[in-house]
Amino acid sequence: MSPSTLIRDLQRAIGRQWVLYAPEDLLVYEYDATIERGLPEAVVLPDSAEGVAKVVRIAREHGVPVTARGAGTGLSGGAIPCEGGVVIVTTRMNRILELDPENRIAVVEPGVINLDISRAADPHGLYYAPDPSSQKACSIGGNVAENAGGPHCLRYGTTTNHVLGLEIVTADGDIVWLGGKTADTPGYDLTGVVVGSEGTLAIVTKVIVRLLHKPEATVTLLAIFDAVTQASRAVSAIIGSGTVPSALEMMDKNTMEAVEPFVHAGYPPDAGAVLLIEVEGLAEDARQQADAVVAICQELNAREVRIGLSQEDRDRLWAGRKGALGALGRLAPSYYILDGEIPRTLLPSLLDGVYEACERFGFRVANVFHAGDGNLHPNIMFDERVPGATQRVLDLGEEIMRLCVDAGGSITGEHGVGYEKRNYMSWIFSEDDLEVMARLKKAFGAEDGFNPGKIFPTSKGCGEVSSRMRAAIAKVGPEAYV
Amino acid sequence: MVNLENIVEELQTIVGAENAFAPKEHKFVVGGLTPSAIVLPATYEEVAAVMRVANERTLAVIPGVPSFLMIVGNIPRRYDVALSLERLNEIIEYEPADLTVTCQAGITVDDLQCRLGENGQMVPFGLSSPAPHAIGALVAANFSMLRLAHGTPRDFTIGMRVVTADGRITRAGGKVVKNVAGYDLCKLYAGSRGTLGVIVEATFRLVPLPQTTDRVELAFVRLQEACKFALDTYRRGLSLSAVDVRRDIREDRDTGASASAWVLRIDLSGTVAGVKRTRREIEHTAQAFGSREYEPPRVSEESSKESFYAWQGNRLECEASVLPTQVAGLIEAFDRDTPGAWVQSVSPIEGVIRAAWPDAGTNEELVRRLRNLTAHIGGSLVVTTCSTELKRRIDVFGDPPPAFDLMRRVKQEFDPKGILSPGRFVGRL
Repeated sequence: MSPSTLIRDLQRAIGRQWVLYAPEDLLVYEYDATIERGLPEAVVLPDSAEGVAKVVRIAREHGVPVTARGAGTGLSGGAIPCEGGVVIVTTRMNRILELDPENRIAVVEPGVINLDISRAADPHGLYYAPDPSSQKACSIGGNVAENAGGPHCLRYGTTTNHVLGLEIVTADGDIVWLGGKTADTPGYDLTGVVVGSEGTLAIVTKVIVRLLHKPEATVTLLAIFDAVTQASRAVSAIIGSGTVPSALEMMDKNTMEAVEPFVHAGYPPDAGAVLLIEVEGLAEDARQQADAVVAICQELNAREVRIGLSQEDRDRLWAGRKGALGALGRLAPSYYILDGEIPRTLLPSLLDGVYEACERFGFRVANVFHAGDGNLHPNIMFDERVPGATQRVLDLGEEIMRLCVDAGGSITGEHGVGYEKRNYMSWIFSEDDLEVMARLKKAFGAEDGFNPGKIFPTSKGCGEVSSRMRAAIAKVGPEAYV
Repeated sequence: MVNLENIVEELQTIVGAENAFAPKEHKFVVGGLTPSAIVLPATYEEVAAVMRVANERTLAVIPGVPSFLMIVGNIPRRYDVALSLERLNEIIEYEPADLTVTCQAGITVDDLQCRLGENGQMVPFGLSSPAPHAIGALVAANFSMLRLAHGTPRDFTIGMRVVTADGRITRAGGKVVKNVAGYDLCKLYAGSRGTLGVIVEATFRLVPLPQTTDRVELAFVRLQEACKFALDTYRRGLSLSAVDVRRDIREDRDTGASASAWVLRIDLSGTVAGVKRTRREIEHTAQAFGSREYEPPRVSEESSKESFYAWQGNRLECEASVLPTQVAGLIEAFDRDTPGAWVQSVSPIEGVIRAAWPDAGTNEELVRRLRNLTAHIGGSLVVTTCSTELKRRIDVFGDPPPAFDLMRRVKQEFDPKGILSPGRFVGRL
């Protein structure tokens, strides 16, 4: 195959070895951790903002869109080039450019792995707080694009609360700094809108992150309940009591059944749900909060509360939670992870609704999720080889999203809208609301130049989407992260 | 030319005769300009109707006044209508166990905190002031006193209702604590100072009230030491809610000589045990630092009021934002180059400096020097108070930031006719 003029222009700008266009090379960049697939025309690996800007300008001249890709661990198809074009992979932009422990900031390139920031900051007693479960693999650029969360966001907030500034490349190919290293910078908070914009407004080429001091003490608790309803009530009681744990996670019976044979966490076979709760701060505070949590759980008939103080004990309590998704992959040929958000007081009735719907549709569901935030992740298990099963799973997913929206919640707590949920946007936003969002896109000059087909509802291609989703769902498995 | 005829009458058809009138008092004046009409809508629909009229007739509207938003900002290009939100003062939804509250923009912080306090909760504005601040103004200015512990409104505002410049009621965010559906427009509106839309409702993430609070004040001879002490204390993860340094100048009771000291005020909050230990450790370390406990001067209320008003006069007041490690050096540079500053408040942990120069409210040269000193180290400096005369000659926000072109385009998209607080923001947007 002889390279097109697009490819030749890209090769001239970035170097031959950093432009992929052979079909067998492109296949690797066709999917991420979920749902969607789309084949790019070219994949480029620049190593600087200037390189990214060149690629953006070339793509614009050729009239093709650009989609940025970090580590490809996203759960809403954020890195999938739905309408082809050029994929910019940030893997080579993986340097920690500056670490300033005194001012508690780091300047990093977008390809830096989330956990590597905390590793670099560790000798100074600092860390980077947002901790998506994929933090060993996911890139900070992807985290910024999706406003990634994680178990500890309950107390510390999501990515947006920890990013002070961004260097971006605009759709015009200009390199611009938003925000900065200082606490305040005059003007509109454009950093705040680029975070979570799913790569549709700009391509991020540098990130200034805020680092936190590590807490003096951390206590992990595992509370075992007979029923999900009791555990849900305990969640509301803990949040309402004035204790803000740093993490508050729930796993239901189906999850525990999947986990136990592999992790040997010691979950009683007849338990209905467990809560994994972490409190931290000064030793006195952590102890007092732990006591308060224990008292609440006991009051609400917890069968047992296990307490981990040492790192080793705490790791053991977390093991079941961290191994949960891998274990679920062994229960069914495929599973489909949902991401919904609700007011946390409605957890008991909403979980009832989820179980009821899954039973009605005839699917097994395992719930493992960020209960303290009201962020649900039902994992629906199914066999895609059964005719019609995939469509029914999608219908079920839609029904569960409806439950979340009817409860006053949102269609996504941390995975993003992407392609899959764009048509649900009109459930929570009016035409006027969406039109205002579109103005922002226009102000950035991005229109359809960056990651087209994401976030905004569209009337076109729904049938096509479903058939592509069917193909992609098969891919979702143990590699997926929550 | 804008036709200002019958504005009041037209607005009265929306809000009723008693809620739209021509100004009779000074409290709506912004940058020396008096609006032609003051309007007090009581519903979101009325706000939208007011904006539709303004949009159609190209009337310049400043929303959320009177409030401290009126003080900071450039002189408006025009000012036809003062849009007061004080009648929008209801709590819409409050579920304590969700730790969230939704309320209208005109409710005062005190009223809201009172209600939340009954359930041991608060919105972390941390403001205790005799002036009745409306929450909408605080969000529009992205202002909070508890930034160290809880961030600013951009961090804890999870949803909003905003009336657009063309009079549509729109929603941004939601009422749940974690939400990544669509662009996070709440971030854009927080701190936009009424230039992109009229915030009529906000949903906040709440925090529990601390079990106990305490305060330690220490006096240091050198600012460097006070700042270092603050950073060391913060690093140890102690229970701090706010940390602030100010310069205290007073006459020695015996010698009559004036002496200055740096007073580090540390607010503590948390559990009883945590706060107790924090106090103990601070006092222990303070001894090693050679600092002493601060003794507030004994002055009569009358004379302190007097000096307060004397100083209030024609002052230049600024807020600088730099890296925490640059704070002490910058103030030393100010003292060298531009003596006479009242250093009101320094946040050594966040790198924010608030200082004022008495009788300098018209001093353009002083602003230029302060800006140079701050820009030299990569910081920014906003003139928060000065004379109207000086405001005519400077941009109070300083030189336009690197992303100014994008900001201009955002303003153009959100307010194409330039009717919302025109000219007041960065780069006279």
